[in-house]
Amino acid sequence: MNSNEKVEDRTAPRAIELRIQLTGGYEHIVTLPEDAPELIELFSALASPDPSPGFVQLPLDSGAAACTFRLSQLISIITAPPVVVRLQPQSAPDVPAPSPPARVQAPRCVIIDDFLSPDEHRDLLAYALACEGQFEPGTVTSNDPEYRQNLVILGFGQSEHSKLIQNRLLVWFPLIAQAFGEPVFPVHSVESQLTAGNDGHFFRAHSDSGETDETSLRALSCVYYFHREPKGFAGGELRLYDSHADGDRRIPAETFHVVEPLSNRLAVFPSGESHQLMPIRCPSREFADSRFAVTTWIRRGEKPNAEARFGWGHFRCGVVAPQFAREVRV
Amino acid sequence: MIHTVFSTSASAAMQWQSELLEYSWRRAKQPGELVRLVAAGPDESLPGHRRARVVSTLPWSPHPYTGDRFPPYNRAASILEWLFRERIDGTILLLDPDCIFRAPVEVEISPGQALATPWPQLPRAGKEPFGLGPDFAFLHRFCVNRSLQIPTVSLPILIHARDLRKISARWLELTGIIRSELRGESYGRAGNADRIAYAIAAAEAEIPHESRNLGLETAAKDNGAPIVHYRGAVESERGEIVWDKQTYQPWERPETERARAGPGKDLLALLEELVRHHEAGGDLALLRPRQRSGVREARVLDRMVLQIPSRSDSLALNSSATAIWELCDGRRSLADVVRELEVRFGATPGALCGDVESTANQLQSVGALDLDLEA
Repeated sequence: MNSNEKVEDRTAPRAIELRIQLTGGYEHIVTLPEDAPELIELFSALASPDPSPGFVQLPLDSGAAACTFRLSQLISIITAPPVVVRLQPQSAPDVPAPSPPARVQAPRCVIIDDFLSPDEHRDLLAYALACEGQFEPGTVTSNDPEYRQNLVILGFGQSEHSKLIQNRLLVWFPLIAQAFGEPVFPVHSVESQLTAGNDGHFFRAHSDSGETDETSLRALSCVYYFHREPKGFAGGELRLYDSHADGDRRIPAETFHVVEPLSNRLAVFPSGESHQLMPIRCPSREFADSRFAVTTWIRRGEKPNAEARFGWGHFRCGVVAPQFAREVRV
Repeated sequence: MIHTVFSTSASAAMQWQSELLEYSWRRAKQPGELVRLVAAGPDESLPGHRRARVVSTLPWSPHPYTGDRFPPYNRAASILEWLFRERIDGTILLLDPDCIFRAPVEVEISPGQALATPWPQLPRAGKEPFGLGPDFAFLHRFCVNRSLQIPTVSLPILIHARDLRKISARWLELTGIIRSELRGESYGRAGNADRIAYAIAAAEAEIPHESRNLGLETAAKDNGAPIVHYRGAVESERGEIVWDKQTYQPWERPETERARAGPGKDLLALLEELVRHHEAGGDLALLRPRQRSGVREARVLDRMVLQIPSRSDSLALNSSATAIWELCDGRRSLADVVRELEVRFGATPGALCGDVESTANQLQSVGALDLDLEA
């Protein structure tokens, strides 16, 4: 997370102290994180009906030393706090044993506060309020109303306000790519929509990049938040989920980070990140008290296009400039 | 904390200016840190500095989206990147590389205010947009509020890091817009695009800039400003050009005595001093190591052992460190120490520079030695 805000972090594994008793009256005390593969290995050996042939190596003194013993020497393990172990059934001999649990990866996200100037911010809010009649219910590709409820102006991408945000965003674009550890890529196109979230609105966990023509090229999702003061709603946070790597795929975890939808804040994350709009509570139910957002997707070009113009029309981002072409500095 | 910041390319031509600025920064005892932002391509190596922190940033000239070659893009882009990557807080003193300190700038700035050098050359036509007049009418399309009063200021600028963070992306964006809209022009409006863009971005961010004589040109009437900005040549009393940064070759001695009294002459005097120091052994000539009072010496098994008041343990020196320690009398410069040891041990000139400097720095870090800067 590249953010100065407070984020909720439930990913830190607990430290488990193990008192390991071995044959011959030997005993070792070690501390391991609860997701350590060695923990599974030790309990698997205890659970095995046959003496385990291998050995295990455990860190002592915060890694300054290590103790190694045969798993067949293991008699008992005392853990503090208590650990509930649910081991997989024994694998058939020709099936590989389950791999150790994958490490959780935090979502990538860049936060830019004060993204627009005060006048630009006020102007955009005035525009959104004036367009109340143009908002319509947002949809998802499955058309499931239980998946998403908010209001949207789909044609917002043609507006001057969209160009203003797009132009500013493209100035930040090389730095955002760099922050994600990725090279700058040729931009195919930029799409954007203006949304309004009011009482009871939400958008369940999803990712923005799919397999349809519309979504497959989405590389970066950029959400600009704004609302009137004093703030007339609660909730509406952006929840970005951790994930497990599974080959090239990333499987969402149950743990997450939260981005507060502060007014005049831009949050950018790779479109493949699983995320969720948390339910909004807006007691007045007035449209003007909504949580507004401009969501802009930067779509990756599969091949360079030197003619494509972006933002106000000055920027040719369909090709990658030579100075950005080779190196990623992190 | 004051962060003195300047931005350059990685070209060798920028090195002497950067070293002169660094020398003046140290000589003036400017508080805080000195940061050189270097817009370096992937194949360019970064310059080294003894005091300045060098930060590599992405190059923005030529502009990555328009192809426009305009080195000032690098200033806004480097600052944007630096403030994005590092959580810098406090006061930023923003300079051009062709600046020197005559005196320290010690004013700390709070968010929401800024001090900057007057820039009377800002185009003024008294009409929108921003009082810039019809030559800049194109800005109506790209700016929400064109009636704002923009500050008629330029570098050097004192501004809080949080405010500069708010301004820098828009500064970079507007510079590109103005240059694109004025394409074909190289000077005048287009040549000042970055300064005009800064002024608009500052006004839009609602950060007032108070005019303050932080810097002055070489030919200006001296008003006691702490910084000299040597964009222009230095002239004699009769108006002859005595020195010009465009033709200067490092480290030629300037003809300081020919220059007209004022900031230009101060610049040449400083440059001449640095050249002499280079000739006398570089930066080591500036440092006068002095044993700190209260440090007690003892000989244990023929080794020098130091007892330092701030430490509970003792420090044993080897024979080389002992030889260096014994010469640190506050009168000799570090260059003198090097020369004496080179003669004593028959070493080739310059061979012991690194070892002596490193040892002196270590002795300083443990509290045994002061490395005074020559006034």
